[in-house]
Amino acid sequence: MNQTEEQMEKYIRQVHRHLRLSRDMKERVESDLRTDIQLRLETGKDMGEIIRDLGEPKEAARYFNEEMAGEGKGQSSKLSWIFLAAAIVTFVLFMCYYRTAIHELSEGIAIIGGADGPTSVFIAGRVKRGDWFQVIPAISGFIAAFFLYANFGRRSRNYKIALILSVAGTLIFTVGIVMGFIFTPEWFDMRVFLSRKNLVLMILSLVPVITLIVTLRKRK
Amino acid sequence: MTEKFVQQMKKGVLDMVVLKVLAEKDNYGYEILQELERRGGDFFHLKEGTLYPVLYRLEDSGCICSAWQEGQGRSAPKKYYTVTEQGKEVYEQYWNQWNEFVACVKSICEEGEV
Repeated sequence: MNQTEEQMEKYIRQVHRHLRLSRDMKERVESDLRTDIQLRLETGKDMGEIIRDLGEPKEAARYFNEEMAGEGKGQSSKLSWIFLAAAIVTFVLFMCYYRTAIHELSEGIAIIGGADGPTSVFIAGRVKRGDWFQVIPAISGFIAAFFLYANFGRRSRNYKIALILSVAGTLIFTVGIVMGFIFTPEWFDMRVFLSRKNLVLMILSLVPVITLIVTLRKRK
Repeated sequence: MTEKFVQQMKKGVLDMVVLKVLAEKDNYGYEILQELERRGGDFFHLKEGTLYPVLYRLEDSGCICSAWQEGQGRSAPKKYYTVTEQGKEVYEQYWNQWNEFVACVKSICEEGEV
C-alpha cells in the first residue's frame, strides 16, 4: 500500500468512526466513498485536495448522519429490542408458571374433572409439557423478529437467522399441534382449549408464523 | 429564509433528477455529482453525504441497482449505479407529476398578479 492509499484508508476509517448508522449502511457509505476518492485521484488530485472537497471526516460524516437520520438506527432498532424483550418476558413468565404448575402437580392439587388422582396428574403433566410446543415457537418467533429488525451485523446474515428461527418455530408449533392431537386429545376439549391460558398460548404460538410471513414478504 | 426554501425544493426533486442522469448513462456516484453540478449549477452543487443517501433509497426501492466494475491495470474495482426498468417508469411518473405541479403553482401565483 502506497502513501496515498494509506491516507485514503485512514480518511475512510475516520469517517466510518463518526458515522451514526447501522453497520450495513456504514459499509455502503464506505464502498462509495472509496470509489469516489479513487476517481478523484485518477483526475490527478492529491489526498489533501480531496479531503478539502469532501470535508474533514467529522464534517463528511455529519452530512450522512443528518440525511440518513431515522433510516439506520431509528425505528427498526427500537422495534428489534422490543421483540427481544418480548422473548425474555415470555420465557420468564412461562418458567414461573411452569414451576408453580409442576409444584402443584407434585402436591396433587391439580385435578382434571372426572379422572382419578394419579391419572389426572399424569395427563395434566403431559398437557403442561405440551405447553412448551407453543412457548418455544413463540420465543423463537420473537427472536426471529429481533434479528429481522436488527441494525447490527450484516443484514443478509440477520435475515437468514430470522428465516431459520421463524421456520423452526412454525415447524415446532405444527408438530406440537399434531402430537397434541394424537397424545393429549383432552387438550382439544373445548373447555380446556378455550381456557384463558390456552388462548394466550395459542396466540403466542402464532408469533413465528406471523414472523415467517413478514420475513418472506421482506425478501421481495 | 430563501436558502431553506431552495433546500426543500431541491430535496423534493433530487430523486427525479438522479434517476434522469442515470437513465441517460450508468454512472459512478462521483460522476453523478459532477453531472448535476455541470447541468444544475449552484442549485445542484451537492455533497456526497446528500447524494449517497438518495442513491441508497432509490436502490432499496428497486429503482436503481449498483454493481462493481473491475479496475483497469492496478486500479481497484469501482462501484457504479444503473437504472432499472422500474426506475425508468418511476422517473416518467415523477416527471409528469412535476409538470402538473409546476403548472399548478404557476397558475396559483400568476392569478391576480399585482
